[in-house]
Amino acid sequence: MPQHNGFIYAATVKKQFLYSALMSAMTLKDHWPEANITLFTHEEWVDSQVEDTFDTIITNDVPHHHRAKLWALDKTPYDLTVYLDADTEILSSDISTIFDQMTNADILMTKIRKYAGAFVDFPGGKLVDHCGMFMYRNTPHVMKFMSQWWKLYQKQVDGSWQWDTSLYPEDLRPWDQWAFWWLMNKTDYKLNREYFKDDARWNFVNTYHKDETDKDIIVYHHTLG
Amino acid sequence: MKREIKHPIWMNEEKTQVKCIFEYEDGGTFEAVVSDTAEGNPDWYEIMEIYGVEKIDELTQQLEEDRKKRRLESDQRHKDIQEREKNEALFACKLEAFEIPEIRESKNREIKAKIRKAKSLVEVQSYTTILLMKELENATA
Repeated sequence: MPQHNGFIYAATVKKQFLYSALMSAMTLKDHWPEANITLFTHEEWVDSQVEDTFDTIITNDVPHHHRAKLWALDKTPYDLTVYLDADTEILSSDISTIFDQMTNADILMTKIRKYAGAFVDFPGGKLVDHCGMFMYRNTPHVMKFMSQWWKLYQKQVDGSWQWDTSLYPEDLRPWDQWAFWWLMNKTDYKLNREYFKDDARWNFVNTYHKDETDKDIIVYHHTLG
Repeated sequence: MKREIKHPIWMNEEKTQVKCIFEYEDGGTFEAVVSDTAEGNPDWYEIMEIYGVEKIDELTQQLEEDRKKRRLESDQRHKDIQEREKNEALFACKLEAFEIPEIRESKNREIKAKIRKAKSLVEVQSYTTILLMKELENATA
């Protein structure tokens, strides 16, 4: 049963993601030693450093899939969960206030910036939500959404889900934001979503302009090649 | 063919030359530098009649300010890109350091934190070398 709040990372397929998740989690502990952190990874990658850094390590049935994060989301051990991409870095002790930011929403997110090189506009809609850092509640409705996200994404990448490409270009196929957008906009699974105040502080992607925020950056988002 | 004269600005400090755009009714445009002549240049008199010296002063100053603003923005973006590239190189270097088994498995939290918090490549490399030496010494002790 979930009893507290915490952070989750997923590191699978490439060892580089494990090293990056390790470093991100260590920067989180640097600024908030009491933070609860769970890692989803492969059994054979668990060593003493991984055990020292993460409070909970889940390896059972973790898929060898580049978006295992989606598989992991509904298996969170926490009431409130912050999902962090492995290529993030925590820069401020204000991270300890993250759970206080939660509103009555199901999920709290940050917005994509079009100028930052993201694929945003298409004839049938617009991708707005950044799926590399977000906070969500552990409720049956939210967990159902997360499990559907994983299922739909698998169909998306294996090609068994086809869509009207005049409205939704085929270029959307690799992006997990696309399955998220579909569930949020075209299905009853949709969540009550809100955004972090001063959201650039909470997920400052490396291509963002400096003037996005006049306060300290809390989560800096690198780009892992 | 009918035409309008638009966007006049001074080309010299003596205010004897004006650069402007001739916009024709068929959509064509032509950039011209106009000055008065001994015979009297009708284009010059037309510009002075429509705009006058003060308006051209104002447009010239506005253009200068816009150029200055764009230059500053461009410089800032260029600096941002350089800083971003530096940050990403630093991040990649730290990751590479933590890929070294002796560093990753080291129990020396102090030096590992220094590698993580390093602000330059030299700092990362220096602390990585120090930690590696310590770990090798420990292994042979």
